[in-house]
Parts: sequence; C-alpha cells; structure tokens
Amino acid sequence: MIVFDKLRKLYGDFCALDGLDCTIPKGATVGLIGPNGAGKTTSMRLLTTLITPTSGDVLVDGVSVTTQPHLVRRMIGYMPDTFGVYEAMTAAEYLDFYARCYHIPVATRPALINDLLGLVDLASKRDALVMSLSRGMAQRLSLARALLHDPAVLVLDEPASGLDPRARIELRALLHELHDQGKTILISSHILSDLADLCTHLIILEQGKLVAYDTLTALLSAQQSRRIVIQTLTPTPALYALVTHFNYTISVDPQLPTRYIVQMTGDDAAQAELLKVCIEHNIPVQQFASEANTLERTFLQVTAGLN
Amino acid sequence: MRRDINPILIRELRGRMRTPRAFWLLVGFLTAVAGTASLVYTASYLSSDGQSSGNNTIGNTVFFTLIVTAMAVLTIMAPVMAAGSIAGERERQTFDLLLTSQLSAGTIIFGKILATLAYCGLLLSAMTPLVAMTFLMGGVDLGELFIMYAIISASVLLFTCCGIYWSTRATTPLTAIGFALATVLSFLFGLPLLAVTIPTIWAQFLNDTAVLDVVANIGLATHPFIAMYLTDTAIHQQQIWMHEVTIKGVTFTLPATWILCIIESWLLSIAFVVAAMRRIWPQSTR
Repeated sequence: MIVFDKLRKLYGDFCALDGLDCTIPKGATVGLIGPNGAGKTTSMRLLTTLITPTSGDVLVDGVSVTTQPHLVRRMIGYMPDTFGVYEAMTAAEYLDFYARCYHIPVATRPALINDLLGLVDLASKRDALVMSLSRGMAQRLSLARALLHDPAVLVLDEPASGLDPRARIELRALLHELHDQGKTILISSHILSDLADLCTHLIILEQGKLVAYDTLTALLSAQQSRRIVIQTLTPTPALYALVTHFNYTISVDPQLPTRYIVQMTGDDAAQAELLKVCIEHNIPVQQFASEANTLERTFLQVTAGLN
Repeated sequence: MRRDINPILIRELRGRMRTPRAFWLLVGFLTAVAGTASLVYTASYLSSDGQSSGNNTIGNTVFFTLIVTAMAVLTIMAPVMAAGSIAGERERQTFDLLLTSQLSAGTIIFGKILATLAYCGLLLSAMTPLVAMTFLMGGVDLGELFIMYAIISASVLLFTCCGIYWSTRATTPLTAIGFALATVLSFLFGLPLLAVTIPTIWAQFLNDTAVLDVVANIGLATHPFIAMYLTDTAIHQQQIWMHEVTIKGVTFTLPATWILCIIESWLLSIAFVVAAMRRIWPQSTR
C-alpha cells in the first residue's frame, strides 16, 4: 500500500532522512518512533507531499508523491501535530470549509459533517467556536477533518501530544475504530505505551536512518534479553549468589531482601532451568514471573549504541 | 453538478466580516476620505467668494480629492491585508492543511487576492454617496468617474498581488507586511525619481534622449497618482483614449495614461502571482 523507496531528504548539508526503504501493507497501523530529529516528521511531510524528496520516492497505492502529488493527496488524510485555528469559526463551519477544499459535493456535505461530528463525539459542539474547544476536542475535530474525503491512508503526527489521560483513551478508541474500518494508519508518537496498544507494525528511526521495521509482535519477541521477577517468602541472601552464577544471567538487581530482578538471555527453557535451580536449592519462591517485553525496552534495546 | 465558489474566498470574507476590525476599518476609511474632502470643499468654497460659476471647479476638486484620498488609503491597506493572508496561515499553522487538500496553488492565491479586492471594493462602494455629491456640484462626468475607478482598481490589484507575493516569502505576517509596504513605497517614490534622473544622466552621454523620455513617460503611467493627475488633465483637454507627448519638439501619440496604467498594472500583477504560485508550491509548476 505505502512504499518508501530509498527515500532521502537533505536540508543543505544536513541529512534528515537517509534511505528509508520499507513497505507498509494495506490496513496496517504503523507506529513511527524515534527521538527528536530522527526523521519522523520529515517522512510524514514527504508522504503528504508537503516537501519533495532529494532522491527516492514514496508510492501510495502505486502513485508517486513526486510525479502525481495531487492524486496522492486524495488518498491521504493528514493530521499535523499542531491544531491550527481560524478566528470566528464554528466546528461545523470548520469542517464545511475543508469539505469545500476537498471538492465534496454540496448536497452530501451537511450529512457528512453530522456523521463525522458524531463519530468523533462532537455533535453537541457543532455550533461552538473552534477556538473555545479543549485540546482533546480540537484533536478529535482535526481527526474528523482528516477523514472528510474518506482517505485510505491516515497520517497522524503526534496526535496524543498534550492530551489528558481521558482524551488519550478516547483518541485511542477512535483510532481502533478506524483501523477496524480498514484504514492504513501511520502514526508518530513519543508515548510508546499508546503505540504498543494501537500498532500492528513499527518503524524505528534514528538520525534519519531506518533502525528497525517489523510487526509489533516480531519486534517485541526479538528482544535478546528478558526480565524475571523472583519474590521469596523470607529474605534469602543465597539467592543472589545463586542467580548471579547462573549461566544466562546478565545482571541481578536486589530491589528488596525478598525481591530480585534478573536480566537474562536465553529462551523459555533457560527460564524454566532457573526456576528449577531455585527449587533445588530450597529457595522459598513465592513468585517467579517473566515481565512482558515493553515497547519502551524494545526501543531502548534497538537504538542502544547508536548515539 | 453545481460548482463551489472558491472556498478560500468564502472563508476569508466570513472571517474578516465577523470581526469588529472590519467595521472599524470601514469607519476609519470613510472618516479619512470624508474629512479630507470636507476640508478641501470648505477651502475651495471660501476661496471662490461664493460665486456660482466656481461650483464646477469645486465639484471637480472635491471629486479629485476623494479619489486621491481613497487611493492613498488603499495603497497602504491593500498590501497590508494581502501580506498578512498566507503568512497568517503559516503563523496559525493552517497552511499545511490547505496544501494537503485538493486546492491548487492557483485557487489558494486567487482566493486570497479576491478576498482582499472584495474588501477594497466594499470600501470604494461605501464611498459612493460622497462621490455622488460631487455630481450635484458639477464638473465631473460619468466617464471620468469610471476611468478613475479603473485606475484605482488596477493599482489596488497590483499592490494586492505584491502583498500576496511577500506573504508567500515571509514566515510571519509582520515581516510580509514590512516587505510589502517597503516595495509599494519604493515604487511610489522611486519610480518618479528614476523617471526624472535617468534621462537627465543619460543626456550627458547621448544627444537624443527622446526615446528614453517616452519610455519614462510610459513607465510613469504605472504610478497611480501620476496616472490620475495626467488623466484628469487629459480629460479636460478632451484626450480620453490617446494623448500626445511633446518631447524636445517631437510629438508622440501614445495610448491614454489610464490605459497604460491598467495594462502595466495587470502585467506586473501577473508577474507577482506567478512568482507567488511558484513560491508556495514548487511542484505545481512541474
């Protein structure tokens, strides 16, 4: 559906994006992560035809952003990280203005605006001035604007930035709904827990380079180490020495006299082996759990040593 | 299928007319125009010693004052309003949304130009009762009125397009307004200066500078205030469509100054619009 083909963007001598090369399947929700200056916004601006690549290309459904940008714009709904407002304009007028900009026929416009306001739960704010909306409401209205022309691809730049927890949850639910409708969504965010909940795929960028691209599941399971929490019934100093000398152990963090966090390599069998060793040495194990791999840890691990 | 009016035009007019600023600008414009015309009328009436034969002259003087004052105000207002338009979109961070929509660069630029022209047209229309009073005094005919309005319209278009061009170059409205005003004022003061000095300097090197004088004459026609003055004089000499210029004993017949003014203003406006379109959307020119 979306093909980044050796995409490169230079600003003078500075390389903002260096050979991004990957294919995003139709209907995927792709998280674009990386530190500030990694090239996330540049990738999105190239995809939305706001800037032209220095070399390479982006194809949306086979259509090139460099040779047919006007066709690409029909297929893309863009939600920038900032919500620009016009003075003295109501929410309905705001959507009506952009509907005109997308040449949506006048006959279908009122119903479409009502439907979209309903979808983003802003029907009651129809006649409220856009400037008076809260940050969360404004973001939802911006999403409704991006959906006006029913695009196949949604490009969302930091949609959850500055939102309170409730607004973030509401936005996440909305994006789940859009994913279920079959939209391909490219979303950048610094809130990795949100992305972990939303995304099917992840693109990790660092200093303009593609560091990793895969499905979320594959990336999480590809981690080279795992964290094991061992909780004992009573303080057991022998456990520290035991675990430290275990073959697969990387590090041991004695958080409490009865609680140790073990960072280890190896697979499920190695984990079972550690439990077996503890039992054999009469350690009063109350809890032995492998912590789920988080996106934060995956990101740190994948980008470790790149700076 | 019914075709929509330019959405940018609709939004600009709606946004502009909903703010109190639009009302106060209108009040300010009419106050400036009416105040100046009243002063000139009073001075003219007192100097004519109340003779009825002086009414035609008074009517013409007041009419000319109204037109020149309106032109002076619009010379500032048009580039300021236009310069704030696209730079304002950038500042409000709404410009990217327009660029990623289905609007072409032309639609965006023309929408902004039309919105500024529409507001300037409103100001000129609001001045109609004042202009109508000069008809009661006499000394002004309908043809002269149309010609003067045509000069104002062409010049306002030129200054608007200049403002739009700078609006596409600057990142903030304030910068765009600064550059637009600097360009317009340089043009208004620089053009007469160049038209006078260059032929004089050139005369030191060449014996015959007649061609250069004709070129200077044609170039000066773009200047709205000079065009108005020359047109007013020509109309009273019954030279509405063509006028004769005698330079160093040689007489040249040229199109009337107001025709040159309109043609030159349109050509310069087109140049500004093309440059503006290339600025906002380099790929649209491919």
